[in-house]
Amino acid sequence: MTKNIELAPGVTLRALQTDKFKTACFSVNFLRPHCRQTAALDALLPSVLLRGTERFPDIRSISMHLDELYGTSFGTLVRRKGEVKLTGFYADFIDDAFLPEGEGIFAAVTDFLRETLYRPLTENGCFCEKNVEGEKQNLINAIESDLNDKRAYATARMLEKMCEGEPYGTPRLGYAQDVRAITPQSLWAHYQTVLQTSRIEIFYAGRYSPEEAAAQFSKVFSDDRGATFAAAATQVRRKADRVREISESMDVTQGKLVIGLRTGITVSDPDYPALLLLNAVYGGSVTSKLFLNVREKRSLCYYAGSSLEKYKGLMLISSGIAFENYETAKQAIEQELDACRNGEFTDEEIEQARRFISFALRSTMDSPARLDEFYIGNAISDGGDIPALLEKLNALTADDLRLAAQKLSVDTIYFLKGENA
Amino acid sequence: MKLLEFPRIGERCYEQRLANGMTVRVVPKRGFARKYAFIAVDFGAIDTSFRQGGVSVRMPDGIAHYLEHKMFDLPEGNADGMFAALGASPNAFTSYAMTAYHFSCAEHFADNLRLLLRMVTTPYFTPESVEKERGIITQEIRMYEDSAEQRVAEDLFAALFREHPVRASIAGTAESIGDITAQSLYDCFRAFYQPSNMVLCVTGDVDAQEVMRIAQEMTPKTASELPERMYGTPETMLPVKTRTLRRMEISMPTFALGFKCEPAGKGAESMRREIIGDIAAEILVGESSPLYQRLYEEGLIDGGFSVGYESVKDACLISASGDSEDPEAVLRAILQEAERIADEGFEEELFRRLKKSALGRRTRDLDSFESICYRICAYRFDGVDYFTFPEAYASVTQEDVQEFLTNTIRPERAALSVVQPKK
Repeated sequence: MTKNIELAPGVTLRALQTDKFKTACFSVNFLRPHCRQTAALDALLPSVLLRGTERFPDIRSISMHLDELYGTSFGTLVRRKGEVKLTGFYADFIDDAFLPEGEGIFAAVTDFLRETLYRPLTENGCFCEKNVEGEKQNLINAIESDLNDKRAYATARMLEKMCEGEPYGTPRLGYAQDVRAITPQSLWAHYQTVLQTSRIEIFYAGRYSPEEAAAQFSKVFSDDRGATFAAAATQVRRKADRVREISESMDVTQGKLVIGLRTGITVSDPDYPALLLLNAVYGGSVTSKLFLNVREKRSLCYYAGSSLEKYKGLMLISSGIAFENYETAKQAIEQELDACRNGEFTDEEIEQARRFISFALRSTMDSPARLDEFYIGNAISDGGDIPALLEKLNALTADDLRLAAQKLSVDTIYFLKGENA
Repeated sequence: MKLLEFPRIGERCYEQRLANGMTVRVVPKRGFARKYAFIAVDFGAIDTSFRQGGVSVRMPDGIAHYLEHKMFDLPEGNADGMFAALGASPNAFTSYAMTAYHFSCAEHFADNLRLLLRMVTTPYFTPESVEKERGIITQEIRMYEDSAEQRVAEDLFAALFREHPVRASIAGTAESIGDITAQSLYDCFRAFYQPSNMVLCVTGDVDAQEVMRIAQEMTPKTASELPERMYGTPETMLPVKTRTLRRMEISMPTFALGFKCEPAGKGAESMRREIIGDIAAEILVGESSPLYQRLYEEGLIDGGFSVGYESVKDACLISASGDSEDPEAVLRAILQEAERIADEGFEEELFRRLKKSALGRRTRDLDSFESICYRICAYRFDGVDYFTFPEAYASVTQEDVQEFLTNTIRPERAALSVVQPKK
């Protein structure tokens, strides 16, 4: 499993030595409190840093350098886990073992990381205005293009409504109007704050030992950082205080129904494994109640499923339906939920879900990107390592699921319908 | 069973051609929990017109996709549940050129593989089950119709090609699938789901001997003759329409532009052509080209822009797509740049670097079970072994790329498809 090494105060490397892949990878994450005030700045920062450095002053010279490093991918990361924002970079590149004798690129890729983080292209001691303006526009376009994928759009709208007044209610990338207000100076000031006061989490997977990897990453981060770090934690509302029903109209041919629930359980709670399994039985797999009863038996929709936000304690139910089926679909979804609360599970349902989750967890170890997601997630809120989770999963009974289901409370029901529906 | 070694990419695999004509390949990957099996049928959305036993048949658009949905029905129940009971997650897709069924699992691999093979060799359709599926597929089609990305690509194909069936969308339309019956599904199954028209590819920590044994045991002993497919009269290099425009509920205009090119040869030639096409696309407007930088800095494209070579049987093109406030300006700039490259050529250094980059990426891509299996099958249907890609790269010269680029990126071969936001 991973070995954690503290490289400097507030800088932790989680390294996994493995020879399973031809790809080596790392992510570097600056942890920030996710909130309206800084969401847009956090989202913009890595893109501006990747616009040019002292040695590679424009995107073309950066691309050419990455081509020379055997097609290394080096991209920005803006993740949100609960109300913790992670901003930074993700790189994947061919493992040195597959290069001609005597060649290696790991050192060059970490060197490029240092260059990107600490040697940005500047004018008058600040980010170049042209690059900041260009990336602001790209970010605004990305925010507004949420509209293009109606399923994702409906989910984002539901979350915004459900968590109004909570930091989580601010979308991952912030709001377009906040992006517009950013200046090169305000972004530069934020950059200094991020460098100085963020906890930094690094994940590495590849053939080098944790110590060898640590030696490389140690060269990247400056040691003149402060000793206190910005707190980043998530406020969890355990129960919904009322049910809200909201609908919006748009020119769409298929309706999107999204229901948000408070689960009362987060990843570090003892009953999280029960919630994970319950979600698979209810709507998280192809043998789930939603899939079999709402989609297959009743042909009510093209998709119907549920997913968890394990840091904030939310469950999202999402379904694509014909407009006129709104009431029927909503009732069918609630009916299946009641079945869970009443403990109506067959042994077969539970066993299938158990196998489904167990397989998902075990295959996490087969993909560098999923390993990164899992271990960086644990850095935010520790849900234990995979073997321990598997063990807990195997001990769960129908009664554990019933108890987890009884903690669920519906908060917001959102429907995106057609203009004349 | 043969052992094939590919030291340049650090891969080895086992392969056997069964007596019934099915090709089976196993790519062992030690130390992985996941085992993955992928069976591809050389039958896709474009195979709607064919001739069999002297009779010409025209099937409704979307039938390959409909058939994919219904193959999960077995006399003993729905295969989804049976896979789940065995701890596997199954899935399937239909593309223009192929239909594929796959699963991954950690346990009960042999039983899951038997189930997969039983599923793709056992048609079981009733008028009731076919009717019930229509509602689900109609909803799926509606979902695609709301996707600007999908629409803009489909419009481009319809603008470029006159008769080639890539003109129609993969799932068909709500109207076209109205004509699909249990009988037409059986007809397509019998025509195309022949062992000789399938490739099975398995990867993970598995026993190759056992895979071969199961494949033999679970598939028919013989195959009958395959139909002759018809893709219309050969295309000219001129598009049907040079512009298409549609309005949808989106935030900013999105576009896809394409340049028609001649059908690629078969076998090794098809892979070489794809490499030439991809490198030409990169040189023209890939991320490390001067034009990409200019368009990006002028705000005419963003990080979502992509360019590459595509081919579906005889329909081949260079395409570029993304979001832009001014798609016409992007097309103009690409044409100008092609003219400049035709005159001035490009640096040998750029060519060398792009090859190095592409080789590195393709090698890394071998970590993905999905990608390995898909590519092995797709290239096999074109008559070439995917794992020979390093040799194919080595054989491509700067002159090949220059010539292809100069011939293809021309105003008369171009079409531009745009989806604009509603006012």
